[in-house]
Amino acid sequence: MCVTGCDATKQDSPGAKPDAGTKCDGTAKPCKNCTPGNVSLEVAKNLLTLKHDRDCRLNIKVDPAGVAASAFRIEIRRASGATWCKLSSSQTMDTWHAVIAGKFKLRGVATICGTEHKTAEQDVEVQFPAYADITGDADVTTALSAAWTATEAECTEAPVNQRRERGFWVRLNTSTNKYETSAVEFGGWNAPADGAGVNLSARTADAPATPDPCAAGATYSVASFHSHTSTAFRAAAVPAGATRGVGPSGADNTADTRDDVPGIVYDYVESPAGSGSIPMGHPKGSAAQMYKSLGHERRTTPP
Amino acid sequence: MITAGQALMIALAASVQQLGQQPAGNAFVELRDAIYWVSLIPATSAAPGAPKSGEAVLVKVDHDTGDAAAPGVAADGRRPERSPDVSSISIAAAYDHAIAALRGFDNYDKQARLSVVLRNDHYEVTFPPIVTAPVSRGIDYAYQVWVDAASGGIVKILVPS
Repeated sequence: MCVTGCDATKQDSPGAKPDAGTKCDGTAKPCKNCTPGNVSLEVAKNLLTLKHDRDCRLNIKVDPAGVAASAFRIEIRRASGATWCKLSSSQTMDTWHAVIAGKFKLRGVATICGTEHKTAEQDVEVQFPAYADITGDADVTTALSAAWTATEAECTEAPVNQRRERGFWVRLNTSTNKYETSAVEFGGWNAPADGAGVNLSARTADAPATPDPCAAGATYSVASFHSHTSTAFRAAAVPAGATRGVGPSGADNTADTRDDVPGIVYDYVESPAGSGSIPMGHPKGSAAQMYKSLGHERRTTPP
Repeated sequence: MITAGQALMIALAASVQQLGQQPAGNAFVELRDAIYWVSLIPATSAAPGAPKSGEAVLVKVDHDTGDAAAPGVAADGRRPERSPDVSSISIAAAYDHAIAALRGFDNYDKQARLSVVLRNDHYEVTFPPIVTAPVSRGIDYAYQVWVDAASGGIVKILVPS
């Protein structure tokens, strides 16, 4: 039903029934349709990963087509929070770059003939990258390889027979969408008879600690890293025939579990194959690789 | 002040009635408040007074005097892996072989946690590291000696990174 006449400036009342084809007041213009059948938010993916799978299409769909909707916005809040913030003032975000980790609620808002219509809320989780994502990144592998090279270089026989581990945190800056590393932390110098370790500090705080869902980005600690050491000059200091296991220790696994991160350990490839170990006197420069600790596949998504 | 290894031998001697002579199985020695708590879990329950499945004979040994309290029983699920139907060298023998393998290289904490664990085909005798400064990512042991459960031969000696 056309209530007030339909020209370019007058509108139907919000309660008018849909009659898009109705002509009235002698004009040739159709009445506006002010009663939507349905307003919904289309979310292309409900599970995203920072940096590696962060793009998602969002669209507010108004049915039927032809309903006079305007003043769109797409909003987000943490599932654990109550405050909405605006992601977009458009009906459609062809590419929403998810840059904040968390479990979120999304909704669309459309104004139809002066009345706001909110869509049902959609769940979206933005998770941290997994071990394979992190160790597959070229910037990360470059940084870790450099740390390994430095660890090997520091293992000397003379003038002092010594070696030490080093470690740092792998961080993801979602503003630049690039990985970074924290300052290097060193273990103590170790004599050839002694075991080595590094007292890597507790997981560095995120910056900001709890970012707003609409923030432009944040920096997260997503993995620990530390190197193990060479056996090149240890043979005389340990029992004949002794070998050293490769990969993370039980203590490494425990620490990464506590810190809720995947742990990356740089160590030699076992030799011989199938032994799970390397001999004493294993030459520096031998094949090495990254190992995953038994901590976590990825850091837990915040609520 | 006795060592964890001495406490193990004292506990084995004190529990002959429960475990018989030269039992095979698992042993864990931990120092708490100047007392060694020695848990002994036999591979078989043939001896009279042997603990039931899921239990261990627990012997408390004074750290300073070596005096052993009367053995008790405590819940403990750390069962040996090796089938009880297959004969094995004893806990004491495995420990002795490991100590012999380390002769001249005793760079470990003799008062800290010691374990003798019977796997399917070998014992793992694990000696704790000397901890000068705690580290978050470090080593699990100073030495771990694998001893063949049948012959007593040394299978391997592991040292940490």
